[in-house]
Amino acid sequence: MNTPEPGAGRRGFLKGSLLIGAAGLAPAAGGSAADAAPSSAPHKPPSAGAAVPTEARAQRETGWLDTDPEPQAQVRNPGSDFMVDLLKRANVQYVAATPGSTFRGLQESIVNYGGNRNPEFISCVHEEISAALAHGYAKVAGRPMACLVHSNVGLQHASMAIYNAWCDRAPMMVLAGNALDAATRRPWIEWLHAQTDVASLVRDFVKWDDTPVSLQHYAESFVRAYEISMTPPHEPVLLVVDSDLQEHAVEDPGKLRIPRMGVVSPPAAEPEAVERAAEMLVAAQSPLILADRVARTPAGVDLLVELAELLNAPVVDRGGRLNMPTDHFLNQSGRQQALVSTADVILGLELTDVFGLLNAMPDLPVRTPRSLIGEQTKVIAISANYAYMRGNVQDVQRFFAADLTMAADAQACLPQLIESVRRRLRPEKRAAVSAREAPLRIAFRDMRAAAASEAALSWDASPVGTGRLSMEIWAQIKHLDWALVSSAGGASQWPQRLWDINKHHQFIGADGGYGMGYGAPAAAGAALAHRDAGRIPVAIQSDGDLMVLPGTLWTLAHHRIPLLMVMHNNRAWHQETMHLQRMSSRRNRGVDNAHIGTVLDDPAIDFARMAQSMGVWAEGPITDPERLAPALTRALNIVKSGRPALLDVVTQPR
Amino acid sequence: MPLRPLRHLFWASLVALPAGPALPQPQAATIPAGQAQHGRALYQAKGCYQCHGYAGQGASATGPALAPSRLSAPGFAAYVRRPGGQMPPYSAKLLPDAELAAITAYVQSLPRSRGAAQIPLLASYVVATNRSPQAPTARARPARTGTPAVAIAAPVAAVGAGVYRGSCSACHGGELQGGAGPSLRGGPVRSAEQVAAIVRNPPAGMPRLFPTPLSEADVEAVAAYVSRTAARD
Repeated sequence: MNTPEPGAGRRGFLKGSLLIGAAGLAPAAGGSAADAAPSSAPHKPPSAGAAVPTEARAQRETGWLDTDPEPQAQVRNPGSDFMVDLLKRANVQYVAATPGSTFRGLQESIVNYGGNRNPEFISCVHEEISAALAHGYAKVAGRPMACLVHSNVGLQHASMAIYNAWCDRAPMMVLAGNALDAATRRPWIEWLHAQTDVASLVRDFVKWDDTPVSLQHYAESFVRAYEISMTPPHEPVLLVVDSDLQEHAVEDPGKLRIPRMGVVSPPAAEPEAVERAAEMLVAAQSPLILADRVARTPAGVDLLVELAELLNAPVVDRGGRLNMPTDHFLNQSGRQQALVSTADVILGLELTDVFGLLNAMPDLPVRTPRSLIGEQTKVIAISANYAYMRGNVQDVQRFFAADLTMAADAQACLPQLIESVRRRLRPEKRAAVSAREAPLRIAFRDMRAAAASEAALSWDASPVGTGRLSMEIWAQIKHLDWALVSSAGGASQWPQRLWDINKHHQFIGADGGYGMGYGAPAAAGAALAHRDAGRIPVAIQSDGDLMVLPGTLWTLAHHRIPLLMVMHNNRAWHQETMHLQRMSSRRNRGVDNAHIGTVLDDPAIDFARMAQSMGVWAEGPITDPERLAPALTRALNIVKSGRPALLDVVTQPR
Repeated sequence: MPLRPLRHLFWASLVALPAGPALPQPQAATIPAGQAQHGRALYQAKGCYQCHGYAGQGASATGPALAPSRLSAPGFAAYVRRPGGQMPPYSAKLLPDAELAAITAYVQSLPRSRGAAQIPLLASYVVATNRSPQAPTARARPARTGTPAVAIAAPVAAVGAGVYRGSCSACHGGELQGGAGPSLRGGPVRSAEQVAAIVRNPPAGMPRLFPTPLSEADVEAVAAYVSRTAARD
């Protein structure tokens, strides 16, 4: 029998504890069974003369004390260590997750083998937070982070956020734990939380998925998944991470190979199609550019500006990303209706919904679309979406027959398009193009003046006007290295209308799939990326959205993620209030009841106290607009110190 | 109609009407005492605030500003009964005439806001126009990046555009595309003189803006602007 070595550390400690426990549990020689019963009384040393059980006896009685210097229960070189090697090779900085046993192996490897750095484990209280956080992060960092989910139940939680990322063309690595081998599943729980094809839960809205059955298989699929996710159109991808694959030892480490990770060149259009588009644009009297997600990178912004200036073509930025600087005179987003109706050539760049932009279809009992463009207007549509659509999910939008369609990444097409346009601009055409500039500059000035006049209308109102809210924020951040990490669609898009947003990272668009609950966790993920760059992130956060995943606040506090979260608290799911009012009016009854089931009031939620309960500095509720500026100053000081801060501002509905 | 729940009255108490001088309102003297207050409660109970805001400021995605009121009382009431666009109609069953009158009174009582030019955080966006003394005047500020500075003595075209923006766009749209009022594009081509005549003697439903707040010069400028802009189509 092996004798334990003195000072055998953890192993020796355990043995010692067990011997003491065995003495307490097993009857000593000559003792009674009562002596052996567990007692709540303080431990008494054995009485004089009582025989101390031998180690062999303790071994027989407990049955599991391992005296082998190389215990069978230990697993050296587990497969999940290799999985962390892959994460590091891919430069995945963060892994967001709610802990779950199906990926306990990988989690342990991340925090111990990997040193919890590159990647760092980001704790989330709900998998939907994990996925949405990864969504927001990717749009700032320009690369995916990983999101671990616990088999079927975890993936079900995360699924809406994955759908949002799908619609928003954001890359994400979803790693779903699963116990594949039925013969090794522990009873009950590992059967409830296992699925033969767990990826089927989200297959309609991930770009690719795989279920590797060996570590080499896993390595190759991981690299492939990363490349697919990062090839336009960017999308989430999913890998199933088998529990046994994580927890078993690597049989032959020398045979494992990690494929070289490369960058896949994005799809570009046929040169002839690009030339034709250039010809149409140069010949146009009133060209118009509609952009949604064309700028995947900062270079995309520069390219769009160059094309627009070359043609003196106004740009309507639909806000999927920051495509066109808001302080550039050719950003005429506030004049969309007038520009669409008068354009003779329209260039659509990575548009989500061409049909919806060029047709009116008001929400009336009878819905008849009405074209907003002239019969002679030509439409050019360039998008990677055309090369990748799914039949089940309907984010493809209604079909629109463009005059020239290119299934290609718009940003990748811009250099050739610019070169072709420049080559075609003859001197007489250049004069006509130059003549467009002056009226467009005046139109830009008037557009911004009109927006300012609108913001003034509720300037002194209580609840606080959303224009006042936005401009008070702007006044305090515009001289900082700031970034807006939320959309402001519910707050009348004041930042896009009045702030000077001219860097790609300063605006990341919205949720994509309009799934409620995106706002707070995506802001947290984006703020995480901005933290690495030393920026001040700001979110305008609606109340209904925050109530879906309020646990995001805890993650912000726990991981010291600086973020200024200013509530747009209109105490309602306001859009639904309007929907119910519309239904009541249409049915000629009960318009007074539109608040039933649509307001977040009675009681009013105290968001400041909620945030404080989770460790976030907070003030509010603020209903007096005069209190905004000093409160924002205090909150910003907190954020500058590296912590999150929340201001609960009670606002006008929109 | 049942009374609104107490919490809506709480919301009503929170609404602070925007400060600033009130526009001359043709019917202000005839609004019975308390009717505007009653109208404010109804404005919220009937859901008007949802699209037009508690202060009547409107929102780009939901509905135009109602303050300052531009429509006559009959015009306002007529539009509520038979609105254009996506505004839900309010029948007499949903909104009896007496309640509609109270809401109309409330909307007409809403004062003009300070104006962007008087607000430091907004003033730099507002460009100078050569306005008449009756209308608020914005002073030019140094242009922001990408926009040219504009001289205070702007040409007549700019005056007309400014008058249109301040007095006409709420109903006819910022680009003459229509809204609460009809589109000014695509219809019969009218000369500046014809447009001016309409402004001086408006049809039923259109507010009377001359001789106040618009001067003769303002009318001529906006008529020239509308005629020329509409003719470009």
